[in-house]
Amino acid sequence: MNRFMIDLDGLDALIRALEQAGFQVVGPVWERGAVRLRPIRSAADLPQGISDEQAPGRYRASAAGDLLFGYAVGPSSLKEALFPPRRTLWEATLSDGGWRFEAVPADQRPLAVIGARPCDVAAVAVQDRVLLDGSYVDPDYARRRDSLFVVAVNCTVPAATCFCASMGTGPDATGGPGRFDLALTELRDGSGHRFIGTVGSDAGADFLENIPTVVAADDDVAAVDHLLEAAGQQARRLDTDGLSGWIVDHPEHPRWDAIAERCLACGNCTAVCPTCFCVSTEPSMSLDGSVASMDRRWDSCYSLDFTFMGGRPVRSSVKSRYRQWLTHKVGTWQEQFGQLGCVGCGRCITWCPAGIDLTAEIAAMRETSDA
Amino acid sequence: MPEPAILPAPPLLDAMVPRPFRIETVHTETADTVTLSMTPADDKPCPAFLPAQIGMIGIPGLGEVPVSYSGDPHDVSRLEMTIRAAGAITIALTRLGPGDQVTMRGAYGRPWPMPDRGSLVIIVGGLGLAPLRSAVIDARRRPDVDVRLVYGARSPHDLMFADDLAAWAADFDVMVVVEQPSDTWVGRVGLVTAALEEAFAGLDAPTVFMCGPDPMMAAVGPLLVAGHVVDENLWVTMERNMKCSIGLCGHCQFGPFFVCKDGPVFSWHQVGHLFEVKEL
Repeated sequence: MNRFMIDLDGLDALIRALEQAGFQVVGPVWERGAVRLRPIRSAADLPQGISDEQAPGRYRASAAGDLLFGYAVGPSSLKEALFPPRRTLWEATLSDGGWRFEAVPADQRPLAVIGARPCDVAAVAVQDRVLLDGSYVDPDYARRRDSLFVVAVNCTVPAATCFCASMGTGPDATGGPGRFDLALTELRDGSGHRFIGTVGSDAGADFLENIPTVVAADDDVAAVDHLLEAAGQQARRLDTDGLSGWIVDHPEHPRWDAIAERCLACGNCTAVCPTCFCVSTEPSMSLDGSVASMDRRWDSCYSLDFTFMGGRPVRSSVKSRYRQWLTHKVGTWQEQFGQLGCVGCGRCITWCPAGIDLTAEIAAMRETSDA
Repeated sequence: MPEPAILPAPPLLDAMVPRPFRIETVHTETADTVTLSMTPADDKPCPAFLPAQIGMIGIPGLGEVPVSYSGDPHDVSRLEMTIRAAGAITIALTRLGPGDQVTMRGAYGRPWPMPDRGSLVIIVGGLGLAPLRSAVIDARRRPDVDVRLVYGARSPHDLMFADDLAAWAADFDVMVVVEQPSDTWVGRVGLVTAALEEAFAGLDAPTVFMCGPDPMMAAVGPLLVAGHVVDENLWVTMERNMKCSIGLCGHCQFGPFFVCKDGPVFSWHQVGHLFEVKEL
């Protein structure tokens, strides 16, 4: 496929064109010390000259470099936009002694994402299988998903916690498991600030027609390929060969106890994971008892409430809850949905206050697999 | 410029929106357990269900819990659920009376594989009789099915469905075992295992349905497959925390299974090994 080139004005024009077409445009924004996904109006809202440093239990974003996309993933993923953390499902009113229940319709505005990382685009494909391909479809997610316009930005500056290369999800969205409309790679050198792109859909091609683009120069294509190849040389990796069956077969491995001594069961990993889909329901009632409602909110399998049954939890130990999370993510998920639930974004490593690193834990477990 | 597709908005998670049901009668089973008989409070018909399927019953403002239907699956006029006061929602449900309204969703899940002929041995512990009551009612309409029931309870005061048990005992073998007998108890004493030899005497290739607390099933399942039934013909029904009952909330996972949609009925062949893992 021929690759195109747009400059900063072209990126700005793309954002404005999406907004004019009725999309709610979201993209990375530097806010309260982290790069987060927020509504944007122009390229000026993007985090120019921000870089991040990530390690187990550590995230620091600060001014460095001169790129617009010079950082890896922050705490937000597309999950926040496509599958909101809280959502009212229904409201009920009491009249004449009886309840009437009404579904609460969702926000209808179509969604466009600028700067989605390849791992997060892959994560959407994982969530699709859960929320669209089962016996029950989440219509709210389905609608947002149908109208979603994705401008992926390939990763030239992965973090130390990233392991997308070993998961086959990045650092280049092209050829990866996720669907995108346009994918860009940022270049900034003596020849200027520009983005080399590929088209991933008809809708992507349609939008490009209204934006000044040129065919990418051979040198730029070579530079992008070189950058992405370098970004794929990640020290951190997860060996997925036989992993799902192995982890399911080792629920009593002594390493689970060792991890449980460090795990705080805080649920940070599930909150930042781009594929964790567990939710709970939260009822509420007006003070006069005449209006009731039910919210759906993100939940975490680390919570004791999660398995409450007959007055007590099924999974009371931290060991059983960490084991459930990781065994589901890279084990039973395979049997349930035909793929792993991990895309290698590394967020669970970065945002774990105890710095628990699933790649290291799994490697250590499998080294002593006679347990 | 292409227009983004603005789709008509279907209501979010239609299956999550409950219907109002009215409590018609409350039958006290034991000190902490009642059977609610309920009819729709809207203008729609009662949902059909099959034995062992689950409904989400709740109270506006308080929440929902999954409960299996305990009534007659052929009675399309009402739903019955047998509920023990255990947590905040079930305590509130057991305090309701005729005329009160509840929220209802369902029916969900995989039912018991009711046999058309042969022997059906039903082994239940405690509240586990509730999801089997509808199966017993259904089985009694199957003339070629030979039913035997083993029902274990903590004490004579914990026996549910007393009238049913008496009526059933006139038709087929009902073996009631209590762990803590009263002074006047003249029946069997012990755990359900005390009645297994008798229950399976003379049976060839029976089908077994079992329901009880996890520890009971974990203990009895291996005994059954060791001597009485092949694991493909031993069926259990599971209870787990559920918020949606439609496979989307993640709460009810048991190994690779979503109890709400892959179960609640599983063969021992599917889940027997999972009972060996604590806190799975």
